Amino acid sequence: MEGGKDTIKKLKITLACASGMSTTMLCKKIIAAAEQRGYECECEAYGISTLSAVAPGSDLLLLGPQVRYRLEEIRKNYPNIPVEVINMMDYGAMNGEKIFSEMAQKYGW
Amino acid sequence: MKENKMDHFINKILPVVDKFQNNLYVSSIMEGMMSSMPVLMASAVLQLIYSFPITAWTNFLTKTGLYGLFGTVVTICNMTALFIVFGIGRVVGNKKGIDGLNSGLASLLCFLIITPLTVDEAGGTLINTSWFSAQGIFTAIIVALVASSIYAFCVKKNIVIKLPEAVPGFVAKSFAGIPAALITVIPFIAVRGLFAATSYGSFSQFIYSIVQTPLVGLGNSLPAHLVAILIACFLWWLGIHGTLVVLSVMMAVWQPPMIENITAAAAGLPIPNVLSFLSIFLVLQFMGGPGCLFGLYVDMALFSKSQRYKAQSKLSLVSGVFNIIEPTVYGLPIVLNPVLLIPYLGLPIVIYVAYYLLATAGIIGIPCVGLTMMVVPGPIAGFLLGGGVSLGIFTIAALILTCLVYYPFFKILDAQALKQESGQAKLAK
Repeated sequence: MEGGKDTIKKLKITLACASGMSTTMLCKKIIAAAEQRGYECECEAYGISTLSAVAPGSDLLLLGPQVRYRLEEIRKNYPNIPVEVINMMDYGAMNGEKIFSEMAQKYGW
Repeated sequence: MKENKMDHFINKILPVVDKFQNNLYVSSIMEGMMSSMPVLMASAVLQLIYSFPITAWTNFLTKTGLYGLFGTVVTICNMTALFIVFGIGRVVGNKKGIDGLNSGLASLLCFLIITPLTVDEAGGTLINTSWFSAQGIFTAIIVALVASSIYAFCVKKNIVIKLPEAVPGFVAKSFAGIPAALITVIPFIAVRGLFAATSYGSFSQFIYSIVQTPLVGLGNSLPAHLVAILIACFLWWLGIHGTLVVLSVMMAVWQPPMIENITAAAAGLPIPNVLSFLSIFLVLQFMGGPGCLFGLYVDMALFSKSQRYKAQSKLSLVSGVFNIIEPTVYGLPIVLNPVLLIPYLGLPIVIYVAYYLLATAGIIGIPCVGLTMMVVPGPIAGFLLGGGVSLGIFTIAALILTCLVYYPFFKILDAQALKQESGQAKLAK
């Protein structure tokens, strides 16, 4: 990612579920996981219908599994931002650490 | 093999759900209607204040005139058709890539144009506000979808007045929007004129009699509510947000009876509709979330012997009390869990039928406060919904029932996990 060359590594991760309520619980854990790896991470959760106002500029969009049927559409809307669906088990366990480390590996952060 | 078949099945369902819920107009209707919810919440708070069942309090409110004032404000808050028409018009505009504020305002204008007016003896203009309330909701939806689509079409086709380049930008901009607004308004002026000549007298009356009344009659019946609850819970069992999917389609049908209940309560009249969005919300949301999971959270917290469910309980209990089910649905998990399928689908149905029978018989009160904040814990929500103490007691009884019904099913899961854990412990030795 572009952030890699800067001295302070910044990340913006945007989460989406139906109303942005249950994914909010996950945000703190993702931020903690990112900070452990030396990233300054901005991570917030929104309702999927309000994404258009907040998604631009994100390094990653994560969808809650309950709205995974919208994946294709979201990918089409944001061709320049990687979009992933959070794994059900990790989501249920609110395992921000595992979610972040998998994404970090996949996108080479 | 079984897992693969299930995956295959879910992959087949996903696009269907997507088409259903993600259709531009269907999702705009729901999102637009949802945007009127904060107004209803304001009215719900006022309702709670002025209907607080202490005689000294109501006497005080009546003496100071606050009672009437609060009632009036509640009635105004429930002119939801006005908020909905703007909300939907705005969402459609945004989705079509134009400025939603303009398409929302154009929709509101068109809605007012087709609303019946009368002139009193003194020459003043009167609007019967029931067209802004429950009766006008379907008209509002139709007008908003059509008006905002026309408006967006005109803007995107660039049907604007172009002034010479010497004209300052802000002047040119204010002229630019005129043709789009005019073209949007003209069909509605024609509609108003045409329907005035029919026996219905107005477009609003026509839609109310021909579309809204039959559709609400059909969609707000007990069988329709039960099917909707079943579909919502089954989709959740597959790991899809079933509530969102069902509401996208049914919100329009369930909101008018809810508004009728709220306005009847504000006017001190008997509550007309046993079934409405509020009764669905009571059972599908306030009882620990879809599937009436309250009992499962409690059983898990009290009776877990396995490490697995002890750990899960820490995640589930706190979120679950506030009716947030995702940690439980995906963590326990409920998704594709054969042991839990029966209570997960069965409990909401049993409780809903019980509610329907008791409320119809007049034994428990009917919800009539627009409390649609999903995180209010069930034991509290039952008392706040305006159905009186009887509805509160019913809710608590139902929550106790969920504890009892989920217990044997949870014991099966816990025993399985315990066996697995002791097996692993032996292996480790």
